[in-house]
Parts: sequence; C-alpha cells; structure tokens
Amino acid sequence: MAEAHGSGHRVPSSAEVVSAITGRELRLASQRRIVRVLFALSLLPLVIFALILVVGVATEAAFGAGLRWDPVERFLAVQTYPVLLLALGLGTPIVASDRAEDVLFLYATRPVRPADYAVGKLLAVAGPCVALLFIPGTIMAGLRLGILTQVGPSDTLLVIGKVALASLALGCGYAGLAVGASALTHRTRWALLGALSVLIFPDTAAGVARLTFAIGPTQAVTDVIKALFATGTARSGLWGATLLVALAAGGTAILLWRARREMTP
Amino acid sequence: MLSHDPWLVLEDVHLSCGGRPVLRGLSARLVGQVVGLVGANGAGKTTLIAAMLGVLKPERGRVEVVGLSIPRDAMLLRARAGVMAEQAGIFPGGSGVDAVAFAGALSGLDRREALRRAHRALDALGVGEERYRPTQGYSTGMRQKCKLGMCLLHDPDVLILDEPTLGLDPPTRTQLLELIGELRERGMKMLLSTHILQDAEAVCDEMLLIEGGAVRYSGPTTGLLREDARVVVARGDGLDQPLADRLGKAGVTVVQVTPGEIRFRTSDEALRSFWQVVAENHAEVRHLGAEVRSLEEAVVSMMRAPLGAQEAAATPPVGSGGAHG
Repeated sequence: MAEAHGSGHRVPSSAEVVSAITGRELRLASQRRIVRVLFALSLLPLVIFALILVVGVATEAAFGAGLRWDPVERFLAVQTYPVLLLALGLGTPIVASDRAEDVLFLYATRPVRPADYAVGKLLAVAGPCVALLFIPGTIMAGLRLGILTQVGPSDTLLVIGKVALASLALGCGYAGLAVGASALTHRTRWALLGALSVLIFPDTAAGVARLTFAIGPTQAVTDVIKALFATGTARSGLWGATLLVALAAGGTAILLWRARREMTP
Repeated sequence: MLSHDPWLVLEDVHLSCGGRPVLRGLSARLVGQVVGLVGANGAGKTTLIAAMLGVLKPERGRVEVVGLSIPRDAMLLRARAGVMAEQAGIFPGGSGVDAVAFAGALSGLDRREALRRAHRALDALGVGEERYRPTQGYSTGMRQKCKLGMCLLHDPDVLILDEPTLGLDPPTRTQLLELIGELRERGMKMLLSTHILQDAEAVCDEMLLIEGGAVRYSGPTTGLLREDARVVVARGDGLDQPLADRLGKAGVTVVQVTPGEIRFRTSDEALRSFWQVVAENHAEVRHLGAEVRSLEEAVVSMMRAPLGAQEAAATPPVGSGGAHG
C-alpha cells in the first residue's frame, strides 16, 4: 500500500500547500448546489446589463435618447449582491466545518504552517469573489467598447483598472468578513449570523445617525465604486477602501489566531 | 524486531500546557520497530506525540525522531511521518477518496499522483465504492480506514498511530492489526499509542509506559512481562491460608492465596523453604511455574504499585530501556 515516494520526502513549499488547500475548497464549493445557484445568479446581472446596453444603443440610434449613466458602474453596484451571497456561502462554513470535525490538528501533523492554512482558506473565498466581479466587469467594459462609439481603448483600459481595484477591495473585504466569522465558531449557522450582523447593523446605524462616511461594509463598497467612477468623493472612497482592507485584515488575523491556537492536540 | 540505533530519543523532556506541567523529565531511547506508548488518561501520551511532531515545544530537553532533531527539523519529520490522530476526524466536505488524496497533496504529492495513491490505499484497506460517498455518513471503521489511508499515502518512514483500533469491531480491529504487522515486516517504524493493551502486546516490540508525564518503563515488551516471572504459582491440594502462613514464617513472600493456589516471590532460598513446608504439611503440589500474565495485567500491576516499590521490584530490562521514576 505504501509506495515509493517519487521525489523522495521533502517539505512542500508554502505555495504548494496553499494551492492544495485553496484548490480543494474550490472543488468542493463547485460541487455544492447552493454555490452553483449563486454562481448562476451572479451571471444574471451581466446578461441584463448587456441587454440594457444593446437596447440603449438601439434606442439612441432610433430616437436620439441614449443612456445617461455608465453601465459598468451600475453593473458593479448590482453585482456586489450576488458576490456578497457567494462570499457568505463559501466563507461561513470554511473554518467552522474544520473545527466541527476537529481537523485543525490534522493539518498540524502535516507540513502545514498556520499561515499556510489561513492564506489557503482566505484565497478560497476571496478568489471567486474577486473573479466574479472582475471577469463580468471586464466583459461589460469590452461590450461598452464594442457597442458605444464614444468609448475608446484607453478609456476601456482605465475602466478595467477601476473594476480590478473595486473587485480586489470588495473580494478581500467580504472574504475577510465571512472567513473571520467562520473562525469564531464551529457552527456554520452562527458564523452566518455573525457575518450578517456585521453587514446589517453598522450600515443601519450609519443610516439612522445620518453619517456621511461608511462604518459598515455595504456602504464602504458603494462608496468605493462611486469614487472610482467619479460619482462619489475620493475621500469617502478612500475611507471605504480602508474599511474593506481592515475587514480583510481583521478576518485574516482571527483566522490566523484560530489556526495557531487549534493546530495543537 | 530490535535494532541497536534508537529512532526515538527523549532526553529530560519538560513540557507544560497552559502553565500545567505535562511532561516532567521524560527520558527514553527506543529501538523497537513498533513501540507501544501506554499510560493512563492524562499521562501525557498525546502531548508527547505533539512534542515529537514539533507542534508543542518543550521548555527543556531533547527530542530526536528518526535522526531528526525536533523542533528544528519538525517540518521535515511531518513530511516523512504519517500520523493518525485519535481526536482528529477526516477533512470534511468531500468523499473518502478526496480526503485521502488531499492528505497526500498536503504532504507535497501532486494532485493526480495523490489521487492515484488514494485509490490504491483505499483498495488495500478494503474500502470499496463507499470511497465516493461523503465522509459524514461513514461508520467508525470506515473513518479509521480513511484515517489510516491518509497517513500511509506518502509512504512515510515513521507512523504515529494514536488509538487506531478505538471503536472498531473485532474483525476490522484484527484486520488493522494485521496491517500494522505487515508494515512492520516492511521495516516501517511505528509508535502505537493505545489503551487496548492486547493490541500493544500483539504488535509492539518495545513499550514506553508513562505516568504523570514521566517514564515508568521503557524497554522490550518481553521485559515488562518478565517482571512478573519472579512470581511463582503453585497449585494443588492443601495449598491454603494456613500453609501460606507457615510459608510466611519460613521467610517466603506470599503474594496471593486462593483455595488450591498460592503465589509467592521466588528465589533459590524461597523455593527450598517452600518445598520443605509443603513436605512437612503433607500438601500435594501438582503445578509449579512462573506466573504468566498478559501485558495488561503487567501494566496495571506496575501502574498500581508505588514508584519506589516498583523500582525495587523491577527486573533489569533487556536492551535500551528500564524502569524509571
């Protein structure tokens, strides 16, 4: 049963370990029905906005009245919701289920460092979230270039850059939130509840107090997108981005703390 | 099978968990191919395993496993070792074959190779089509087989098995012990931590008995059993309490008396006195021989005895080990 090890025994690099952890999580996620549904749903805004764009151009050609708003910005604003659902669907069980099954020590019996574990799990959530905003956003930018006559390649590249920035900030922020909540408990439902609390209460409080700056992740995302597409202030965009980065860092710190604490017998 | 070079060296290992000392000056040099790690709950067995893997770092002392100094070479040891942890489950979320292949990937195998080996390992362990089912629905036996598959996949040099037969039905347990025997034949070094001493007796060449974080005995399994060879059992007619009293007066240390049976500590002097008292009292001895005890009885008797008394009674062990305080 035990076979000769092809390359002899060696310590795998952190990149190999992280790739193994992230790859497995993504494979498992792709097998889950809820994740498939969320993924399919996340493509819906792309189809709808592409249709709006085509119809808008046709309307402009026929009646001279075109769209008065940037389809990419609107698309990104709508797309944040399926991405948020995906982050919660992928992220909230990711550490909680490991803790429920008591396998953190199992990782420690392998050449896995706590940081490898934390990065692997975080990437398994952040990766799809970033991709799900960036890829359709880039497609939208491409469609915009192909359909709208007033849009040039340099403008499109700029839009793609903005989409990339928004995707990174949002993907990492939401991933940090979901994974951090997951690392705090060993039950997925509690992790989900915790993450939802962070999503709902600060933004609600900000709304009630009529604050002009974001204190919750949803408003932070909106501010970042608005600032990138010049419909919001740079200051609020920067603050929103800082909040999202802090969320990502906080989630990673909780995950790392948990891994260091429980990767022992 | 005992070689001369120890593969597990522990020198004055002190380790505390949460401020509580768990290992207190643990010292042993183990050469046996399959070493049994036994001790009561809380004796420090799991902590010792964690220290061997470099997961917990001793405050003092030296740990060396298959020539690797721990914790310095801990990552290399983890790449070379297969560990079946009692308290840990199986990587959740996927099928059995997925969990086993993932364990291989974490040890540095590429995914395709890990998957190929996982199928082979599960074939050898007798896991059929169940390997494709989610692991949540697995029976204890199936889980143990998967866990064993996970730790064998990367062809480890050393296996650390923590309660591998726990919760298994007798046929599966026998199968697992046979497999351990097979791996021993192939030259794999193993540390078997178990409460089931029949298992340890069946497969271990050497025993490490720890109590309160210190070594109570380390050495060949036969040495542990031999400690009771100093007790002789006599069976026959007239072997009763009055005769035991007379034996006591004649200087024989009687250990236990039951109707028709007397156990006493042997020596040339004690044997002479025994036969003399038997002849004087017209008792009839039909059997006289060294007491044969199981490992379980030997370990239990050693653990029940106070430390000082045990040291006094201990037979000098064969090989590397001995009874320790």
